[in-house]
Amino acid sequence: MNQRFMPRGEIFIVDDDPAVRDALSVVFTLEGYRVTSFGDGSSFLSAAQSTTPACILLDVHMPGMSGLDVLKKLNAQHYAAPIFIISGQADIPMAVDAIKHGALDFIEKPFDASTVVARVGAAIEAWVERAKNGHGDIGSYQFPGHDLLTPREREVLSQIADGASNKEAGRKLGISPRTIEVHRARIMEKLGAKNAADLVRIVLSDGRVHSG
Amino acid sequence: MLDTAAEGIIVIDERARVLMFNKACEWLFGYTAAEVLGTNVRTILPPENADRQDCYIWDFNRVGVREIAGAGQEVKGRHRDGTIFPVELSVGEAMTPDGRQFIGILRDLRARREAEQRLNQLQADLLRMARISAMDQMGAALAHELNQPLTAVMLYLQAIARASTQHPDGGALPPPAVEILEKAMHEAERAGNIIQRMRRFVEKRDPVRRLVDLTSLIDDAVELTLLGNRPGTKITRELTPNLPVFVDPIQIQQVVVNLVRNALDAVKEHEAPDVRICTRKVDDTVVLKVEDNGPGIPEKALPYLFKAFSTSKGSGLGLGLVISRTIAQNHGGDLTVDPGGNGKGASFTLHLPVPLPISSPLLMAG
Repeated sequence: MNQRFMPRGEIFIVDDDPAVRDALSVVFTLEGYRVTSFGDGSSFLSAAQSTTPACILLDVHMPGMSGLDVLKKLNAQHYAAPIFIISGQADIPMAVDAIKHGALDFIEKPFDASTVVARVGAAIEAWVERAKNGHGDIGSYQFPGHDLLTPREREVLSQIADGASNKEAGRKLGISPRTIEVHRARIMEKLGAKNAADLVRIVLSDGRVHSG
Repeated sequence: MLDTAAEGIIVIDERARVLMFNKACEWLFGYTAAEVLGTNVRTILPPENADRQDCYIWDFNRVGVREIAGAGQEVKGRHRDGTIFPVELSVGEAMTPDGRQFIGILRDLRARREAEQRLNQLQADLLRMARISAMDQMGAALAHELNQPLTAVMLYLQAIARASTQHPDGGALPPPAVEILEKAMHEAERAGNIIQRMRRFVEKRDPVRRLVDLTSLIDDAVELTLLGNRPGTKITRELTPNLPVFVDPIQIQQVVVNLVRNALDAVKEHEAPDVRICTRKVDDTVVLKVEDNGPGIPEKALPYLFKAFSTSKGSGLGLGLVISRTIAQNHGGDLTVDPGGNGKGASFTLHLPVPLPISSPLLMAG
């Protein structure tokens, strides 16, 4: 059965540069996705509120409404699809901001087709897996500070507490190891942990024994 | 009358004993007149071995009056608490029935010294910012602009490559074409690496963010901008106090300097030029507006306002607003414009997020 003829879901592409929009469209269409692209934040938001695609690629530097604004207006933390931020500049604080506002991960231009396709594919798969298995059992833990963590952070913590390396955790959740690091640092700061051992201790501090 | 003078006035006799010590001197040196009168003037001078020059000037017994009398010289005085500070001293001589007396007029130079230091510091800052700025601007703008077509090119080439391998029956490219395609992709990657390297070379510093008070940041930026400008231009500031922001202060100052310079340019020909800066908080955004009473921005120029390398000015690269907006967006905010027109000048607004209670220094690493 030719995989290409099975629709792999819909991808939304948001970028103010028409060539980038078109090129990404071409690549993902070839991979068997249905692609809808938008040249600005407002038209994207109208569509995203009525349709949930399989994945979203969002440029950060757009005139009018910046990518970060879009994330906020979309309430990205709770949006039902993975969102990749596309940035033209490697500005870590900005990328961290985007992740704090609910972006799953970020990709820097210029990127190549295989990379983008692989990352998007991995994210979609991981998303589907998590929806099936629930979002990690860390949600049931009552350790001090658990309510300070965002849903994504709880997932990362669940992986870390399971003993996953950054790479493994990244693979499970469909994000890059570098972004796992960012989440890890944020979790440790929120929970007041000085190192990984501290973190595990805090998580287990409600007395329950963690199996697995 | 001498007691109400703003300058310190001191009178000493031939033996350097203090005969008169006015109120200003009491304030300058921290002694009451009663404590000093009759004592040697050394009381208010730095210790002898600290600076021989000063003692020399005051040592009237050894030095001819003509050498020291006259216009002000800078000397050092010593406060009761031991602090040594700069003072401008003018000395006059009077012949009195009680013998030669010397009148010294003292002016505190500390304030002037501090102002000079500050000016030097600001000039150094301006120079440094200008130097970094030009390179940074060029590098950042080029990288950003070039990344767009380069991204598209790479994606298109790879799309062809993937399409051809996935259509083994029809649509496959002959091997020479595939080879050429691969070479093209390799060159595109090389171009990307060059851009990366150039950017890393130019941006030696990662943006460093901290909590700063917006008002002092703006005041510094305005001083910097005015340093090179004609006097008399009015820059009105209506700044809401206590507005902290979590930013890289150098970058945000760059934005403010850019906006203020543009505003000053816009009102160059105006007979009553007026540039206004105001700040306030609106919900969870800190808003900084720079408005001018210039001609406003023509409608046809609007689409090109934030585009790189398209300037209406004779000189400059046309990068200021592009970079400013990028900085704003990198900080989680934005830069918007109200073009004005019809008698109303233009205004540019910088939006910045109100800092969250948890601002993580951990996240800034790497």
